Amino acid sequence: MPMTHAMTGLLVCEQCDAAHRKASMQRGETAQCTRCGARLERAQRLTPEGMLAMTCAAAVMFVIANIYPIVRVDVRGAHGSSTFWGAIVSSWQDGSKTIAILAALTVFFAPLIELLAAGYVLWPLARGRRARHFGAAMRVLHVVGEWSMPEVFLLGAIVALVKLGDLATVIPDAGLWAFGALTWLITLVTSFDHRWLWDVAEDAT
Amino acid sequence: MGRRGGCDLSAVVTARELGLLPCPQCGLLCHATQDTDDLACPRCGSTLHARKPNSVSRTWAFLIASVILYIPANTLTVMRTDSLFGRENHTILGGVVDLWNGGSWDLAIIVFVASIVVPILKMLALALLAISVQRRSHWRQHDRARLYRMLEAVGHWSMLDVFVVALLVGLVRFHSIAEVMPGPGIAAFGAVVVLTMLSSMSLDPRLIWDTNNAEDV
Repeated sequence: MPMTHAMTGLLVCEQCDAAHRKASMQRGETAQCTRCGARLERAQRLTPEGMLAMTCAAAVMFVIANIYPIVRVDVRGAHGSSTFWGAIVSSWQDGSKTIAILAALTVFFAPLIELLAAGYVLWPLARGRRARHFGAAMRVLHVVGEWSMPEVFLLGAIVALVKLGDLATVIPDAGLWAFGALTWLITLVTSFDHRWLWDVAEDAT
Repeated sequence: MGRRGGCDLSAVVTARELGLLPCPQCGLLCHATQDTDDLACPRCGSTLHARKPNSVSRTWAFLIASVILYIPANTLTVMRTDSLFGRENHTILGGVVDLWNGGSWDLAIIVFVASIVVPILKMLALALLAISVQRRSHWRQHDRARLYRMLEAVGHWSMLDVFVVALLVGLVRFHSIAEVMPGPGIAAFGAVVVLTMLSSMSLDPRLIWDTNNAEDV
């Protein structure tokens, strides 16, 4: 393999390849590319410990969101309720395996893997250590993040409730609220700059 | 509160001109000592490319596939409801009309934007970006760069209808009173969303700017 070595002091725009000199930034500040306007870097608000706490909270919400029913339905005396998995299983059985797989991957497996990978990376990092398979976990986070969509599902659930309103009495249940909280927390956890975490891990042992 | 970096517009220096390869995964800047394709980042092991390989062809391939599937996605039934009022077949557009007539004009607009406006605009925008990049155009680079960032941000919201159908199928299971079944259209629709996402991920936004640097031509 040819020789490669790190260069510091420069920041390259991911969107247009323009090179910039790194400037020191305050917490929460962002640097923009002078050529294309894309975000170059954002100074992190949270420390790895803070992010770990968010990840744990998100994991609790994830469990609640998947165990409790999203909604209870009442049609002319017939009751029904469905959890997220109940909806997936019904879609699978009633013929559309494609949507069952799509929904399971984007709303269950992607966030689950994201949370596991984030926890795996952050737990040792909060103690100044570097996880053994840090690189692999970071790659997983990078790839899976694009396909994780609990926020879209939340909006979908609201639309579905309104559509059902004509047909039945619908009562939102714990699962829906938990999905709301999960959406918020997971966005906080995964919106960090991956490159920043790599730099933090550089100093860890 | 944006903070500007170092250089000004007239003197943009790209990483490529400096002989640097930024790692797409961990951001490490590596010196490209040779013009080879199989460099790996020393920190995280990702393969390094100055530009995404075969970016434009891959973008077109996913885009054309999504345009083809867009036809069944909109003409076929996405959902069938059986209720005491009879059997009804719903299409994507029909679902929006139902919401609107039911009085939920706010949700009707959201679904209309997510399911109809976003996929169409996304396909048009991808075609525009791919063509302009192929022609090495200098035309409105700033706006095209912004357009690409918007595509990345809104693309996955079109999955909305897939979730709506999956939930309705799961919730409405009252035999003989009311039932909801998924139709073949929703699978095609889901595939359109996934394919347009893959298409925009394949497109390398740096190509928009490459025309400015003479040695890249």
